[in-house]
Amino acid sequence: MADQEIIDPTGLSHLLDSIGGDEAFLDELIEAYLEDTPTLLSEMRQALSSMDSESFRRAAHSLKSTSANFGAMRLSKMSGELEEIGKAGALEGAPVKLAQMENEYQKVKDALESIRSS
Amino acid sequence: MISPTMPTYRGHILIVDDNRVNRLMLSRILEEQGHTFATAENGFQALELLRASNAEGSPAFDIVLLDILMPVMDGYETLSEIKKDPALQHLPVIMISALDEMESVIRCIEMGARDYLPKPFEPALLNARLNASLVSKRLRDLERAYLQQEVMLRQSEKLATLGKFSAGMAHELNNPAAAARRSSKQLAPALQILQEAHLAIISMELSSDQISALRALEVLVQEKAIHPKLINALQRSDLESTLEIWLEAHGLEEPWAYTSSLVNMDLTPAKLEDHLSGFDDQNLPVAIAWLDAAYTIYALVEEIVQGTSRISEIISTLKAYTYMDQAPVQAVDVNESLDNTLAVLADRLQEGVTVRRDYIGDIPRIQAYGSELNQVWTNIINNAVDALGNTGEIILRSRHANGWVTVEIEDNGPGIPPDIQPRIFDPFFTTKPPGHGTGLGLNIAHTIVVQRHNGKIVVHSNPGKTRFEVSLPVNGL
Repeated sequence: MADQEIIDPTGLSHLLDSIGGDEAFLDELIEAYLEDTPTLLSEMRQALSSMDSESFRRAAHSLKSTSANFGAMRLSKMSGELEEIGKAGALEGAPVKLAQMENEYQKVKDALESIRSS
Repeated sequence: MISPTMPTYRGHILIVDDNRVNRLMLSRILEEQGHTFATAENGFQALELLRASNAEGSPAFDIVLLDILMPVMDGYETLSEIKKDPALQHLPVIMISALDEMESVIRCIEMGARDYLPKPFEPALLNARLNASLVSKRLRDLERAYLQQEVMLRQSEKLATLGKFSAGMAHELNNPAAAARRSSKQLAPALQILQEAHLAIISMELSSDQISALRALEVLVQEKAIHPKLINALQRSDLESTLEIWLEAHGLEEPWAYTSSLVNMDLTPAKLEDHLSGFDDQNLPVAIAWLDAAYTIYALVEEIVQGTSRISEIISTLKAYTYMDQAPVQAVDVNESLDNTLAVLADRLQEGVTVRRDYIGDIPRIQAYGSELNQVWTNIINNAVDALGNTGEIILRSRHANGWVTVEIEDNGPGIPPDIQPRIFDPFFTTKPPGHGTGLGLNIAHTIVVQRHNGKIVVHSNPGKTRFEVSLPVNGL
């Protein structure tokens, strides 16, 4: 997992293909993602403190699929693991993983921001 | 990307996903492919949009793209609400789902979702799935429109039949109703005359013999009002002249006013002299006037009885024909059923068309929708009368063998040309000029026989002889 790239270029170019190569629209998508992801992450934090495993699961699920869209496969995979934890209702190991995930998101954010400005 | 032979349809699509990136991507792809769309962030919003579009006649949605995990109202609940709503349940729903969520997808398919779309989105796949759903929805919409149209046409055929019946029945009911009405209107003035005659009789202070004579005459009056003496016009004229002379001789003014009823009562001068032997020329005219007034009353009452009885009879015929107030499935005697139909069609069968009935005597009753069978006979006989152009013969036969009852309806009309024989039971097939037939008569007969009764209907037709054969199982229901 450690040797995986933050953003998989194949995934990203696939996304670009599916929107007909429209880079301006890609920027729009990135912007929406960067706007919404912090909200989802804080929802997960909140869900964790209130032990609301269902909300936790839903936010993780949402992040899993959108992150995969941009080729952020490691972040997507981490979200998937947290989704499973939320689904199982056993939130004990979640705080550490969530912190790792927040850390990973910062990297994804930096990478996507540089793609957007290029 | 799409096979060029596959028709592509454009639709109005509702995207339901809580994730903005997903909504943006789907919107973009749909737009590129020429569809129109609206978006909702959860199931609750989606249902609001769906119901509003249905209620207001704004563009109705053709497809719903539905995410599963959403806040407020998730995909399962949304799907179950859609499937519960009669106005929405036919709308195709395509689930949006990651490939590792097969279990959830299967659950949705079991709940009535039509298909699923994996994430991340593939434009080609999205296009193919949307297209497949749109094609089948289009077909379903066409089918619904067709069925609706057919229901309406069948309704109009029913109304046309009803219209014909109503016209025939109105005609049949009119004569007795008019006679009864006319007679009842005459009752009051006739009663007044009788009343005066009574008072005149009372003022004469008759002997008990004379009263007995009048009582005897009253019995005769009642009997003859119901069964008047039937004679030809010449004899009547002779009798009336004789009576007139006799009445005048016995001091009656306007003697001609009484002769008609006296002839009806079969009262000749000799019989009158016998009945009224105790009366002199003072009180005889009063007795004759009383006799005439009494006869008029009883005759009017009889006319009212006749007219209203005929009306009741016609109504009974109609009730028998329609099986009014009876269970739809009856043990039907087809001979009776044919006769009831003939009674109702009597109006059409009067001129020039003779009907011969050749029924087998002991025919088993069959389990059948009675009024629908009458509709079968009616439609075939009506066609036969049309084919005969009002002159010719219709033969009705019944027989039974091996648990089947068969009815034949034969006419000696010009026959059905061989090339159109295979099509006569097709809906909307008619050879009548526009406005004269819906083309549903024989199709309805076919449906009733084959689908409702598990029976058979065939036609054999040559010039001069067309025979419809309807076979029905005795215990087919």
